[in-house]
Amino acid sequence: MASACKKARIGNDLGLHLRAAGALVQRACAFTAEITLCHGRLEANAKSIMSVLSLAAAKGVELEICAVGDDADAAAAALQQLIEAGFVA
Amino acid sequence: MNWVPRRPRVFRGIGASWGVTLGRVFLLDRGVVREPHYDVDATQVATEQARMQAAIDLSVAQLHGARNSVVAGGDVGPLSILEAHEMMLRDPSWVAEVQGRIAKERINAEWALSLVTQRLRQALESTDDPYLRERGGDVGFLAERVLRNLAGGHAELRLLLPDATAAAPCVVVARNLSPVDAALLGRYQVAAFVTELGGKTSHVAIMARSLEVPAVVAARGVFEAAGNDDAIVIDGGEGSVVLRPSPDQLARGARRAAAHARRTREVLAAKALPAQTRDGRTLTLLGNVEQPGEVETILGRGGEGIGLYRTEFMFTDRTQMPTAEDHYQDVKGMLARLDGRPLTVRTLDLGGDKLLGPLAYATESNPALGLRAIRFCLHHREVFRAQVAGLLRAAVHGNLRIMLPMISGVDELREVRAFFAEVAAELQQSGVAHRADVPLGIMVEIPSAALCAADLAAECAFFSVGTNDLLQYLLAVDRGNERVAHMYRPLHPAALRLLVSVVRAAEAAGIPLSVCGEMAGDVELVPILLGMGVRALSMQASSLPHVKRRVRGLQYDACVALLQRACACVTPQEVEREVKEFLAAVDQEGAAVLQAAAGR
Repeated sequence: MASACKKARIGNDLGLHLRAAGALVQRACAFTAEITLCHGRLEANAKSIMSVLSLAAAKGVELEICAVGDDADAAAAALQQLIEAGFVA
Repeated sequence: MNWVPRRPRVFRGIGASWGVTLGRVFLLDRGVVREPHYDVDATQVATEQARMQAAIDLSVAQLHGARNSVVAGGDVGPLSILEAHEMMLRDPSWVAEVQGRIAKERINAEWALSLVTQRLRQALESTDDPYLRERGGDVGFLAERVLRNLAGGHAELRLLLPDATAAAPCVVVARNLSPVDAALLGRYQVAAFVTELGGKTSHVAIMARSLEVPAVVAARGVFEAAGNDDAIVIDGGEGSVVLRPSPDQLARGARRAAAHARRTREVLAAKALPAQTRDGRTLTLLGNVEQPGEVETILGRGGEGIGLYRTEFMFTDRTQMPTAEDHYQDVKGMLARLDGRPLTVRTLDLGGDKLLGPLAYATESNPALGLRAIRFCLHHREVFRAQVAGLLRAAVHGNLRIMLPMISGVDELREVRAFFAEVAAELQQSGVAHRADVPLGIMVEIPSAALCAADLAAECAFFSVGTNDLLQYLLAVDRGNERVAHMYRPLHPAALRLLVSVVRAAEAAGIPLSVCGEMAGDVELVPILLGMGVRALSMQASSLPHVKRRVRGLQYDACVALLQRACACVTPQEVEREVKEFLAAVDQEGAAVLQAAAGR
């Protein structure tokens, strides 16, 4: 099983806010891989908006994106890009 | 019913949306939600889980209904918030967690729901970030809706607002308003909002600002003290609420409301007037845009053209690099919308990590000082070639200027000029219509460029000062880092002196200069920029009417004197004090002029 890890820093002023979390979950759900977001010792399932929100990740926070599954590479890269682009698809 | 003292009461909150209104209280009471906690036995687990699922399904349907009614009302602002709320309710892992708790801990649906949402709220409310802290409230609203549905009651506020034609304007007073309430209330004629909870970024605050009605949030105690139909004065500027005002308080409120109404009228009326100081010095006010569609907004707010078109979306909104034709069509369309008015296009201002995907680039440890903007373009000439060719071709269709971001010195400028000449020669050779002599200017945003401004001015057509980056590099402060953000001071003596030298260099070379950073849209900093001799400001659409109004109240020679005093200061605090005193004097003078005019 392939796996991939990437890091991404949250650059938009409002942090991982409601709509941003929604956009992230939507993107994550397009992949079959299991995707976990890590913020310090907190972990979240990238396909669950409640879980993603519970990271309470503000601007400047660096998240680690870990994906496991056939499309792990593409999934981790896509989420990294989305986060770094400030959640504009 | 509690006995309510019928005397005036004053409450202090946070002014969340500008304006002053006198009206009558309309209390919006959500009441108390029942939240029973009890144990269930194994046979009841399935029943509780079914109740839970039904309540969630009903809640989703209600949010969906609210969304549709908002869409039908033509207001799409809150839509995505409501969508996100729907997504939260549908979140399979969250639902599974609630259902799991019912089964594992043998507790009723309400209890399981409150345990799960409490944990989430705590996580959000324990952060330092005020915006994320308020999102804890979003979770609370959702839980409340599901709880109400579990209880079988009304999940919606009953909106029996007084008739819009009623004598006194209706001021909604509530403990808190959910995004759904806010979206629905947005369609009624509410004159102002007061809430006990919330902050500057809560939904009611955002909605009030978009409706341009006053709002005060975090006014503790106001809900308990107010009665329906009480007279109320709310001032969204100073964040005050007066219940049952005395005749004196009422008179003061009326004066302030009239002043506010006059100001709003003036701001809007000023749209068509020139941005001219009282002693006749004219400024050009332009807009900053990120998307072609924003051109109409800028013109509608009185902008005279586009001073900064950020072209980044051309690169980030697609899967393939844009071609010369893509750039050509995009800018040609912008020029058509502007109908002869000036358009300044900034070439690509991003780093490789955003463009070529993370795989192609080793992450830079310090992107602000890395391979980005013009550095990236000179390194990836095929990307730059397409943009330059497209721009040179589009230039035949209107009043176009091209601006280079992050130029550090004359060597770099020369390299870019040579590249432009090369692209123009290729176009010439293939017989494509283009303009080789498009005015080519630079963003002055790196201190090295500011210090070499005189040399650069001799070799380019215009300067645009990007104050955000210039200040960041000059003061070595990242504004996004809250531990040092307070050290980001536009009125630092070093910043003033450097800006003055750049303005002088442009004047000496006879090239136009504009300021396009956030300083340009800050009404408090306009006098200083004016005093330096700046003649053009480019800003976001919402700032345009306010800056114009400020300019029209100023005396140019007084601004020059202010700048001289400011340049003699040795600390940012001293400069800030000078500016504050200056603005207070200007406002006082303005009021005196108005009074004299009214007395005549």
